[in-house]
Amino acid sequence: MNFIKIFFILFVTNVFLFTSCKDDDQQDPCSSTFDQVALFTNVADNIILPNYENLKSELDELSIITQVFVTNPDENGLSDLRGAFKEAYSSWQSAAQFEFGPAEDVFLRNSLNNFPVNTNRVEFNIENEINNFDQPDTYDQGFPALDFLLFGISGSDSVLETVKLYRENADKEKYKKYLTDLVANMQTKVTNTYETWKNSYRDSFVTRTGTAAGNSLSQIINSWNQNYELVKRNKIGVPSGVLDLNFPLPDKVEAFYSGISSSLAIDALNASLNLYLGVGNTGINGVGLDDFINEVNAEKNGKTLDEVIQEQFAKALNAVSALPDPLSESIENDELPTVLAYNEITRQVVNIKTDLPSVLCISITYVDNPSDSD
Amino acid sequence: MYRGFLAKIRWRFIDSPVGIIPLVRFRILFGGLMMLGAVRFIEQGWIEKLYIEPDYFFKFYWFEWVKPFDEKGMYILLSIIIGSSFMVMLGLLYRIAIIMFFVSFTYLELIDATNYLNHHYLVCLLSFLMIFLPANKSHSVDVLLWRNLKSNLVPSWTINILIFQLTVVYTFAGIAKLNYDWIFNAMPLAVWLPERQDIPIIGYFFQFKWVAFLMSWVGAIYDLSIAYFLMYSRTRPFAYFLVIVFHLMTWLLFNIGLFPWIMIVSTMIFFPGKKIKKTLSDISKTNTHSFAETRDYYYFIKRNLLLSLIIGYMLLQIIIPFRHFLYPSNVFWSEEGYRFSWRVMLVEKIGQATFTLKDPKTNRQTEIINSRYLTQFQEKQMSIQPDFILQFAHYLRYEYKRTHGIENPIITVDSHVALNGRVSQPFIDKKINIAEIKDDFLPKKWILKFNK
Repeated sequence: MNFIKIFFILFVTNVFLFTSCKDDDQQDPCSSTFDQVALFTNVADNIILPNYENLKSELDELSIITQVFVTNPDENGLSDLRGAFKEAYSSWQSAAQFEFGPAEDVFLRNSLNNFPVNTNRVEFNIENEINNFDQPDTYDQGFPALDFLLFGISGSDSVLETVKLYRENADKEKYKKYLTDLVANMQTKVTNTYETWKNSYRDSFVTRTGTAAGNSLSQIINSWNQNYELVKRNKIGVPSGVLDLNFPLPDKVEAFYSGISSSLAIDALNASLNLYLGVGNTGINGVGLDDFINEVNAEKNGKTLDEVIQEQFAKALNAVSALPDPLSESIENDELPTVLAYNEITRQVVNIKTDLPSVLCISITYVDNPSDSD
Repeated sequence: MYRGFLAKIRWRFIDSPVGIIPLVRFRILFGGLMMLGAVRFIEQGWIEKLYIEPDYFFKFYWFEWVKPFDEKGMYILLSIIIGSSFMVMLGLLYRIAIIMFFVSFTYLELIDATNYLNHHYLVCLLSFLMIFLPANKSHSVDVLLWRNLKSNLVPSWTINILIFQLTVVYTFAGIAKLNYDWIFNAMPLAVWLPERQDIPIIGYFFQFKWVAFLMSWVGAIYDLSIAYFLMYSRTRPFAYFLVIVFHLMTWLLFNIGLFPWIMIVSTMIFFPGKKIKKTLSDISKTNTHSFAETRDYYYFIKRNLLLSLIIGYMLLQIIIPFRHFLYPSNVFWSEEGYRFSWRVMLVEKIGQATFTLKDPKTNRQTEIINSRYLTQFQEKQMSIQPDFILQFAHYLRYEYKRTHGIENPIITVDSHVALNGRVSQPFIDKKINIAEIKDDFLPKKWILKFNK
C-alpha cells in the first residue's frame, strides 16, 4: 500500500513539475502522414537527375571543346573553352548537393570541387606527367584545377599569354595532356554518377521511405546541410577571414583565377533554396521539404518555420548578391560586406540543421554513432 | 518492541545467512559478460575511434586528472579489463581480480565524459560493490586452491546490496519517465520508433503514434514496478520472463550494446539459491540469531561499521538521482544533475554550438571550426551539454594561447538546442564570456531558460 502511495505522489509531483513545459499550439512533430514517395520522386526526377544530366552534357561539351583547343590552340578556342568551363562550373553548384549513393561512391564533390587548388602540385603533376586522379583530397583536380589551367597558369588571365603556353611552351604537350586527362576524368565521374542514378539508383531511392539514418529523407537532408555548410565556410567564410582572426584570405575563394566566385555562390544558394522548395530545373514548384514542415505545423518565434527559412534564404541571397565579382578583389578592398553575407548565411544553419530535422524527427548523422547509447 | 523490530529487519536483510549460489552465479555471469563486452569494444574499433582519434577529451568534475594512454597503453588497459573479468568469472584470485577490474574499467570510463553511459556507470557500481562480496567462496578456482575458503552460506546483505542497486536503477529509470513529454507526447519514442520500421513484423506498427504511447506507458510502469515483482517469490518467474522480453525488445530497437544483457543477467540475483529454504529453517530451528554464526560465513568489518557503510551507500544512491531538484532548471534541458541518475533513453536532442573567440588586445575575432578540435561524436555531445561547452571554451582559450599567444580571450557561444521534436531554442547566454566561468555544482545561470 505504501509503495502505491509513494509512487502516486512521485507521479503527480513529476507530472506537475514538468507540465510547465506543455505545448499549447498545434505542432505535431513526427507526423508520418506525409507522402515521402512524392517528395523523393520530385527530387529525383525533377531536380537530381536533370541536374546531373545537365552537368554531364556540359562536361561532354567541354570535352569536345578541349579536343578542339588542344588540336589547335588559339584565342577563339580558349574563349570557347573558358565559356564552357564557366557554364559547367555553374551547373555543378546545383549538382553538388547530392553527395550520397552513386556520387559518394566516386567522391564526386571532393573530386570536382576541392579548393583552393594546390598550384604547386598541379605544376608538379604536369612536369612529371602524373595524371592519377584517384585520390580526391589532393587539391589538384576538378574545376579548381581547370580554373587554374585556363585562367592562371601563365601568371595572368591574359588570353594571349595562356594560348601561347599551350602553343609555344617547351612543355606544351604536357600541358595539353594534363588538361585533356583532367577534363576526361571529370567527365567519367559525372557520367558514371548520372548513369547509375538513372539506371538503378533512382528506383530504389524513391522507395526508401522512413526516418532512419541512411534512408532517402535523411540522405537528402544530411547532404543538403553538408553542402550548405560548405558554401558558408569555403566559399564565403574562409576568404572573408571570419575563421582566421579577421585576416582575410582573398586568394582562397572558389574560382580565384576566373573570378566568378560570387556568382557561383549565388548559384549554390539558389540551388539550396530550390531543393528545399522542390523547384525543378523547369521552374515548376513540386513537392519539397517546405511542404513537409508545413505538414507538421512547425512554428518558430511566431512564424511558421517555412517562413523563417524562406526569409533567411532571401536575406542570404541578397547579401551575397551585394558582393561584386571578382570576390577576391572585393574582399581586398573591404571584407566587411563579405563578413555580413557570411553572417546571413550562418543564421540559416540552425533552421535547417537543427530545427528542420528535429520537427521532422529525422536522424541527422554525418557519421554513424561510434558508440552505444542507453 | 521498536528495537526488536529493527533487530528483526537487520537480521533479515543484513546478517541472516543465505545460500551463496545467487552471488556465485552473479559473479560468473558478470565476469563473462564483461569479458565479452571488452572484446567487443576492441573488435568494434572503439579504442581507435574513441580514444586514439580525438585530440581532446571531456572531463568529469573531480576527475580532470584522468588522461588517456597512447594506443599501446589503451590496448593494455583493455587487456587488463579482459583478463581481470576472466579471473572474476573463474573466481581466480577473486579479490585482486575484481579490484583490478573496477579500477581499470572505471578509469576507461573516466577518460572521456563524452562516452558516459548509464549502464557503464552501473558496471562501475556493481564491480565496486563486488569488491566487498565473498563471491568466490564457492564454484571458484580460489576454493580449489584454498579449501577452507569454501562456504555455502553468506550473510544476506551481500546479496541484498545488489538487489538494492538494481532496484534503484529500475525505480529511478521509471520515475524519470514520469515527465510531460514521455507521458503525454510519447517523446522521444515517437521519434525513435518510426526509425525502426524496417524491423520485420513489429516494425509495421511503429508508424502509429498510439504504439509510441503504449510503449511509453508500458515502459514507465515496467520500470517502476518490475523490481518489486522480482522480489516476491509468487510473481518472480513471470516478472523475470518480462525482464527478458522487455530487454530483448530494447536490444532489438535501440543501439544500446550490453545494457539489455547486463540487466537480464543481473536480475537473476533476485532468485534465491536452491538450498535456501532448508538452511534457513535449519537455522531458525537452532535459533541462532547471533552474529557469531554469520561471522563464520563471511567476516568483512565490524558489524556496526558495516551497517553504517551500507546505509550510507544506500542514501547516496537515493539522493544522487534526486539532486536535480536542487537546481531551478529543467533537468532535461540544462542537464544539471542529469548524469548518474538512471535517465535512460529519455531525450532526443539536436544542438549546435558556434564559438567566437576575440582577442581583447587587438579586437580581432574568429569563429571556431569545432571539427578542428573534436570528433563528430564529441561535437554532437558537446553541443547539448553545458559543462562540455564550458570545458571546450576553456580548451580553446588554452589552444589559442599556445598557438596564437592570445591572452585572456573573450569566448562567446551561440548555441541552439532542439528537444524532443520541438524547434530549437537558444541554449547558452551568448553575451557571456564563458572562458571566464569556472565549472562548479552551483546552478549555471548562463544556461538560458527552457520555454514551453
